[in-house]
Amino acid sequence: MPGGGIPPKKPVAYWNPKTELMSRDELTELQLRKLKSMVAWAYDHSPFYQAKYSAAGFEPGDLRSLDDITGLPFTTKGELLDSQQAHPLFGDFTSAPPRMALRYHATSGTTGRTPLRILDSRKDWEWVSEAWCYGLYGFGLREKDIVHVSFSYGTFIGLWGAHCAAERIGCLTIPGGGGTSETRIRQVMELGATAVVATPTYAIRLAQVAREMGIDLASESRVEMILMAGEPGGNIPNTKRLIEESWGARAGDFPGLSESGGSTAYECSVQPGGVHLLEDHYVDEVIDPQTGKTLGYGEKGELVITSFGRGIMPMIRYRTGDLVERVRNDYCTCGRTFDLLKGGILGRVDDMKIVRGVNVYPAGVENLVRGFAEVEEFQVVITEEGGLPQICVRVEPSAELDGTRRSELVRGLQQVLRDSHSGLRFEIEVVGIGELPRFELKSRRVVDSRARDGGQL
Amino acid sequence: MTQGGQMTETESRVKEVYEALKELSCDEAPCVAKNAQRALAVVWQIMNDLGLECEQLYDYGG
Repeated sequence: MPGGGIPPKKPVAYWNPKTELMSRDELTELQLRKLKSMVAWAYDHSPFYQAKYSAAGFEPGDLRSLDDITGLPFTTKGELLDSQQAHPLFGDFTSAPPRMALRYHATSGTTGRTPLRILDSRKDWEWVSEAWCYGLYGFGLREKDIVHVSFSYGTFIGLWGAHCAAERIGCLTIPGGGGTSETRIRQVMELGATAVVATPTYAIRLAQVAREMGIDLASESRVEMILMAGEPGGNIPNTKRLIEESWGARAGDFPGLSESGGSTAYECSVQPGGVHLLEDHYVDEVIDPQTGKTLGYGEKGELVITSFGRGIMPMIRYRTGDLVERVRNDYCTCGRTFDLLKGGILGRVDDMKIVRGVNVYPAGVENLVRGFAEVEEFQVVITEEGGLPQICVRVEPSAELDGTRRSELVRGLQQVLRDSHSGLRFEIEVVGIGELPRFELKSRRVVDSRARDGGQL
Repeated sequence: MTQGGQMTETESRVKEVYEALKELSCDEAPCVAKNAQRALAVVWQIMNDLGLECEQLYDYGG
């Protein structure tokens, strides 16, 4: 928005009013029909699912109500990776020959294992972008918009779905791969992009680079929307605020995962502090990650999804590892009947660190650190000294700080972090400009070097 | 897939197009078959979004 300031929110609009405004009873009936179809398809065509269901004594005919889904066993990423190892290249959970696919992608490999290989058929790949359209259109993207997709493309599915969805909506779409951050900023400015697709981390990075180039995006660019995916930060309040202020644009959160085919939920133009579940394309459950028991509204747990869209690689009761809190649709005033995830994806169920008996969530630390405008980048380092765990936040300032401002920053950070973590002491280290790593996708800001994996000291 | 209720005029027309594209997807001429398969995959999205059909399309080019 040339001239600066965050543009006003767009009016409420729906990509698919038939389902987005459907009554809960109608939605449940629709989900059940789609669930029956997908489960029967997987049972008949995927050796993996047939074996899994037979072992559990389950047959597709056992699905009589949506609640019966709990009778189906969970599917985990580990199982899918094992399947691909035992039955290279694509595993025995596929339901059609690989020759029926026209797209190959892979997960990012952030868990340290071999990335999961993913196929999409012609219909499945169209569905991936269709699912994205619910969110992008609902947030306000229109045919007149010019969209810069700021990521490196390649085999990581990342923001591919957003690219194809922007084209489907009719936008002029700029594939921003293959260049530096400076190149991308120049493209955004020269082509007059009105929307930028990026991870939250990279949206911040691009704004930093633009500043270094002498460009104030908030006042000089035409960008009105930052469309974020690939990381939880899109709904971390202070991260979102930082992005919106840096760009002078509204920032929307569109979470998803490679295994599902991309978008699973979306932030609408009301921006209620959460994301609507895409309930006509998925069944979403929230479970206790330890017991597997189904949790209710307002309880934090692991998101489990069943996709109706991807047929060649069915994902049925797939444990995402994402930590979420489901709330009813009236949490938002947009009129959609789809429930929401309050605060978006809150983190990973396994990324919580326990330091001296205190739970430390990376997203919570990020929100507090991003509350300090002087901080350009940060890193959390957990070590063990003399048998005791230590936690240090390394912060990189946006400009050289004099002694007084540096002391104020350290004191301020220590206080807010301590107050939010039951008195736990955080060391604060101010590092030199440019010293900390930058990320385009999947930031890794927590380094836990303790002996035990995942650190439970 | 539709259960209960009448289809709207739009839905009926979409279904007609969908069925026509299925036939064209098997045409001998590649320029007909391949473009029809692609169009079918797109029209499937409308059928699926409106809750009219969610079948798999592997007999029609995926």
